[in-house]
Amino acid sequence: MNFKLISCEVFKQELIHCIDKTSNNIDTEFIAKGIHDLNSEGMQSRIVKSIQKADQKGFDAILLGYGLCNTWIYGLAAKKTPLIIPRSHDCIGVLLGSKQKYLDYYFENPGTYFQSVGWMENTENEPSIKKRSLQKLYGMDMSQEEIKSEYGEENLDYLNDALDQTKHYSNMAFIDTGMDSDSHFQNHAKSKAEKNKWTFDVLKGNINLLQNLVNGHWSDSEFLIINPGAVVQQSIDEDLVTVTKPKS
Amino acid sequence: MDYLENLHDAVLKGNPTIAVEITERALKEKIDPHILINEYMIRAMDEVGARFERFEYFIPQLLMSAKAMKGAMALIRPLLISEGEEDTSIYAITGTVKGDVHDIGKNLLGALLEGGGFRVVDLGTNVSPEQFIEAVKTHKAKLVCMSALLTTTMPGMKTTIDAFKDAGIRDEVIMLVGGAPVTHHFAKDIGADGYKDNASAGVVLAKELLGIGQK
Repeated sequence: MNFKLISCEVFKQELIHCIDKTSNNIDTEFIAKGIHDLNSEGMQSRIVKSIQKADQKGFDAILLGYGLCNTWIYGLAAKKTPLIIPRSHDCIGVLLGSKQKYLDYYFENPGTYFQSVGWMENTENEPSIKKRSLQKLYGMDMSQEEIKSEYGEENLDYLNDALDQTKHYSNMAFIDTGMDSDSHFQNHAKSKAEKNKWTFDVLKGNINLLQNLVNGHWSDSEFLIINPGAVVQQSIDEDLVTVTKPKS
Repeated sequence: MDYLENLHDAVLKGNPTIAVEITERALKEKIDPHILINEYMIRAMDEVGARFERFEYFIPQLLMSAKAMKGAMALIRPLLISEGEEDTSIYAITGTVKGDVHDIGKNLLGALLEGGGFRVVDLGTNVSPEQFIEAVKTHKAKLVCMSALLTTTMPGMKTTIDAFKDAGIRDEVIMLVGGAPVTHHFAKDIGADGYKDNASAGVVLAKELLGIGQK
């Protein structure tokens, strides 16, 4: 089978490993993780741009290395080629191999900051994304010097605290998918946790979901299959997603 | 009393020091605290919200305006209580749903609700349905605002609304939802009264649904 794989670069190491083990032909394109910092429309339009190109080339399916990632997926429509996407809230569920495993861990440990090799390799956004990011739009990308000069040193602590998205975090979990043989990234994550005075956990990752994606083993429970003419919609069941045929 | 317009400007421009100074002076001169709130600060915060919604104000600017109003309110509020007045405030309960510890958006909403004249009881983050229900009963609140940043936690909004139904008090409150993964479609389907994608519009919607007059 010939597949186009369009994926967030966060899965790059894992997917290279999986592609190596599959008998399918995979034409791969990785997209910057930073597009998550755009609004949903911006993220969707970037991914759709790649989907539209691939749609003209007669692949058997277009595989998407993404999760719900907030709301980017809603409204996504398949034209000529089926779209296949793992059923997962985001990359954490994909790297753990199951959304339930993710939910179980998350609700036992609210305030967990997850890390993986792909997360740690891709921390810096391209200037073109930064410029259009939500952080920029809302003024949340200011440096300490900029805050001081704009709002006064006496308000620095107040604003830093109010703008700190991770102030209620208390735990860091490194997802080990076997891509970090010398524990370089794990050790780095651990030191970040220590610096923040967070507890630190290592979770055993599972790349079966990504392997099944490239192998073409798409069970309904693990994958959302969007056939030509169908549109992705939000739902209120635990998956938060459904595929609906448009009325013709 | 011309100087009172400076209170409006201090809140609008986010200058806590000046806001507090003017409030101190006004209270010394026995100016009715309600005038300070209703004619100057709420008007300023309405404008802050409108500018934020038009992307003319950044979040830090909104936070500075909130700090200015909070500083002034800290002086005013004890007087309102000591006057022995009946508490006619409309209470709003805010909180981030169970499992979720993100609170920037929820806090912005809280600041603008206060700026809009609501008495805000913030339950913080990781709030269970039971805590929301208890707070509504304790404060006889008319408004519940729930937030979630993650798709993993947003089903907690439905759980909370269902818990209000089970407790038989769903119809006594307006329940609004917000947060990055939430949409109109989701809000409607889980039985919320409304959703907005920004804090300022959320306050306008809350007032509209509660029948509180807009300027």
